[in-house]
Amino acid sequence: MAFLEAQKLVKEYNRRGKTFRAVDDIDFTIEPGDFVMIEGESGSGKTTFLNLLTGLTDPTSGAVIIDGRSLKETGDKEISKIRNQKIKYIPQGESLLSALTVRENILFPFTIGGLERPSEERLLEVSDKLGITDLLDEYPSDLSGGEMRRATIARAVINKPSLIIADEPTGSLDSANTFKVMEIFRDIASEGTAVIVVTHQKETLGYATRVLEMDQGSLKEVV
Amino acid sequence: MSAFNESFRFGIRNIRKRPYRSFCLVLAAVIGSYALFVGLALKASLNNGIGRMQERMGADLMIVPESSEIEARNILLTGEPEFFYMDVAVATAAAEIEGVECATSQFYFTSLSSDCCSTRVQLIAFDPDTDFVIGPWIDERVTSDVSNGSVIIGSEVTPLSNGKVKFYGNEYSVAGKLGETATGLDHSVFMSRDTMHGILNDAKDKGYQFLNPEDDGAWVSTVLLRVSDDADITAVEKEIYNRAGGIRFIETDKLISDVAVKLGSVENIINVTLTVLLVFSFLTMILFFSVIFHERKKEFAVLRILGTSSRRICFFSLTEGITIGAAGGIIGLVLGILTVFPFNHYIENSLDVPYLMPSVAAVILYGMIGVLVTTLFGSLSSFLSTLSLAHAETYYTMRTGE
Ligand SMILES: Nc1ncnc2c1ncn2[C@@H]1O[C@H](COP(=O)(O)OP(=O)(O)O)[C@@H](O)[C@H]1O
Ligand SMILES: [Mg+2]
Repeated sequence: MAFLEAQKLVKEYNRRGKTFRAVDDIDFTIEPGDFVMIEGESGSGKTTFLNLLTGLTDPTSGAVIIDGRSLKETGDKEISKIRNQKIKYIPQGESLLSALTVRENILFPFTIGGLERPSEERLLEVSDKLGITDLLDEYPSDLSGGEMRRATIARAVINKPSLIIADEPTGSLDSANTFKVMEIFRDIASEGTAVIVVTHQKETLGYATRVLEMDQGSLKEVV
Repeated sequence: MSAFNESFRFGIRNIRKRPYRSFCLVLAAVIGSYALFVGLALKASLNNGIGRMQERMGADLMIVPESSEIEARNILLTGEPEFFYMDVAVATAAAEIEGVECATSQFYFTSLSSDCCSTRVQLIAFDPDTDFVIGPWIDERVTSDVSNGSVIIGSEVTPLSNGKVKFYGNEYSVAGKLGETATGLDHSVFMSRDTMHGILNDAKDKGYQFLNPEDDGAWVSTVLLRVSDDADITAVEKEIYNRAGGIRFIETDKLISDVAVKLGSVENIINVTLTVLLVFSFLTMILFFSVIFHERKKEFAVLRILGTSSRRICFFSLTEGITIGAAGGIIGLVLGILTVFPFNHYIENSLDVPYLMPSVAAVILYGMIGVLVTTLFGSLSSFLSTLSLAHAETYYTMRTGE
């Protein structure tokens, strides 16, 4: 059974009194170990789609089913728990908590949730790979855009979740770091985690097992 | 519980990360709690003062010379030393009127603040045989016997280091001290006619003459009366006036109601000021919390993404609100205590109405009310601002990051 499934997913928004579909009737499934990349023009509905998959936005119609259960029938507390433990979302833009150090940011999901805190070895392994070990005790305000990005990625991959969703995760990274991040995603997918990455960088598409394209709210299989 | 612990720590981190804004928030809470504590303590002291005054005013009626009503009021209300005299015949006449239960006369003069005397206070000679006014105030543990040349002092009069008081070059031992009356009599010294006679002579030797000591027996300053319950006080006044002219009557009930009116206006000022400051404090807190939370829309979105439930987020911000409200409340309380206690006498003098600090228990209660209210302000304002975010869908989307 698929870990996550979207059925006839529609999200409508209003723009100057007219409704339009940011996400238009999408059916989608992802299996453990899949590494899915989604490309598409800006404004085509990629972020909206990811927000629907993680339950951060409610669909106008259709359903998102996680572990066999529709999010519609799942309360806020349980969806929050799923996001905390099973689905790691790396949103577009900055998402570190400014009051906490990099280390505290990476460990924050475990501080608030029920999962066991990863070991120091695991923390160093991930931070070494992303080149942020020296920054662990710094605050986000002292980091460059690329460094913040890598800290955010460390926070998502530290405990091999069921699903990682990343919205343009390598936008502010140089190509060496971009490939390093993609390798991390590929490795984690090979261990059974499903990965969805939205990207604008064609040169990274080779890492994916499936490539999809978003076009005006519709999702089409490319590869 | 660890959830509580974590949100407390997270709240503290957020407070520390934004020192300027946190400072403004705490300041607003300080103002609220300070105003509440000081306001309540002042109001209680005033009500306490007039209550005590009412309780201690043993006489129904006070007869004074025609031109000395204001001076007599000063003695009673503020303890400003005064002296004035009228013929002793008034006392004799008043005692004979039907409806007068008790009558006693007093003789007023003053000491000086120069070397010869302890301080400048009101000196009052009373007649222990007929007195019904001072006797009941005297602390039971000490003797009220002033026949041997000793004196009784008001609660606010401080003796010399040897325990005595000094007037016009001579020292007098203190036979007793009156309980607090919240009136000018707290600043007075009481003695027998004989002692008075000696002091008047000493004063004359030093060049201060109140009236000729040779015939001081012919004069009194005031006659105090208690009128029986069924007697008409106006009729009694008329009867006395017919026998002895040149006098004026001060009715205790009227005096107290005059004070009550003045007290009411002071209390109104306190109420208005208190309300304004509390509203200011609350609005400032709402404003600053809204600014914070608006700015932190994105932070809430991140918390959502990382799997924090809506309830938990409210809990986080409540923790911040409670911490700030309570911290500011406690600081305000400390400042309030540092105002009300050390400046007790200054406040008393500048308000010009009877003033008596409430009990320690009451003070603790006002402090608790102040801290509680600002804690409530803090939690309410943080909660309200979070609520307004929770309803916007932007709350949990990351569109702000685009
Ligand atoms: N909350 C919203 N309200 C109104 N319009 C929205 C909202 N979120 C997204 N949109 C619109 O939906 C479309 C898709 O947006 P988005 O999913 O962010 O696209 P992408 O991530 O592919 O750039 C855009 O036209 C955007 O303006
Ligand atoms: Mg987008």
